[in-house]
Amino acid sequence: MTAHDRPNLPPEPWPELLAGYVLGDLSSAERTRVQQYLAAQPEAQAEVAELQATLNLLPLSLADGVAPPAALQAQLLRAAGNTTQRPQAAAAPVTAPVTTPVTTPAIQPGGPAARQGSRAIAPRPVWRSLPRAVAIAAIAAAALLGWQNLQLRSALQLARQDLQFAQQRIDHLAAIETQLANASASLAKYQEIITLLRLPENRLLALRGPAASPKPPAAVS
Amino acid sequence: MPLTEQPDPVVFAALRQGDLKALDVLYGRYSTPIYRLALRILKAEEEAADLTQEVFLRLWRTLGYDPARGTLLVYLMMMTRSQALNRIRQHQNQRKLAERWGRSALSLAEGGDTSGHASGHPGRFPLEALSLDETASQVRLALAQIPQAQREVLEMAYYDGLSQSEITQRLDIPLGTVKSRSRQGLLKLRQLLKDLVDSP
Repeated sequence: MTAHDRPNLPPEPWPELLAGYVLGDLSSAERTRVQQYLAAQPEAQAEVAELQATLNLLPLSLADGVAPPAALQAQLLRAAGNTTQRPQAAAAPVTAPVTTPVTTPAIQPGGPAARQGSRAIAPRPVWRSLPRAVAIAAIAAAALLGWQNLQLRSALQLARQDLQFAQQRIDHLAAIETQLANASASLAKYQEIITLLRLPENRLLALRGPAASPKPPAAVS
Repeated sequence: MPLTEQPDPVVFAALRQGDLKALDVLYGRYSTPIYRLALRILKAEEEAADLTQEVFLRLWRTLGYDPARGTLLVYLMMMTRSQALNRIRQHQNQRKLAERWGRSALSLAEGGDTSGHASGHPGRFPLEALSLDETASQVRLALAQIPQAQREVLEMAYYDGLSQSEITQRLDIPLGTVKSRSRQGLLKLRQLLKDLVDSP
């Protein structure tokens, strides 16, 4: 599978590759190898998390003496006071659609498609002398395609990241859903009991055989 | 013990219970680094303030942070960066694909107790502004110790969300150089900040 499974191949420069993984500069082949490696090596996952944390400590070095406006704190608390908490279910701060947990990220980037459209209708001043215009259009199209290809590839990478993130969210949501199902199952039971208790005959709390239960409603009416 | 002196996980647990005071405490702890990062990326004070509020509101509303997966500070920094770059992307079409790390960063934020300087003490978190200041000066010190060329590419990628090839174009140096500089820079930083980011 991976190179490190095969001892006759030179060992991979894992620290560099892991750093590259965190920095997002790997080729897709490299990324696949890293992902396989990570799946097999828990300690490498910790290493990735540490590199990630390192990177995100960078902003602590930013200029001293700059602080948010004083009024912001009160403003935030007011806003939060008016906002209900919606744990996890509403959490997904992902721009990619969370609804498609398929492993074909091709459908993901809605953005790029839209962008392509707007680019394609960019004004083309040389439109009258047809042959020349055609040639120019062809060149432009080729350039455009190259550019778009590049963009699509970046988009794809981003979308993959989104997808990975979204999938974690989905797992999480699935867990919550199960809990919810359980909860509503027991809720239903309680409601049943409550309904029973609310029946006019509710003084008869002792459990009765099924033969008795159809009766009371009839007796009420 | 008052909430202000409790470690982040305790405060966050209170936040989960809908305690606004907890949000207040966390704001007191982290609004400044968040604002600074937002300002660095967005380069506009009003927008940085707006984003700062959004980050906290989102934390409050979604409770998307999982204490088991890393420190709150790192989580908030990732959120801030990713959302700031998102805004930039919305503003500037040609750069909109720049965000390289934000999302995967969020999903990978597991492990590291990036907190206590005493690396051997799991469960210690950077609580008060004081220890955050200490952390900050350690980060500055570390950054000062890596070559300027490495720092430059790391910062371009982190704050401007530039891809390696965009950096290649801007600096007019080969892609391989950009890659090796940023990787070496990151690895060196990680080494220098070992005590801060080591998993317990």
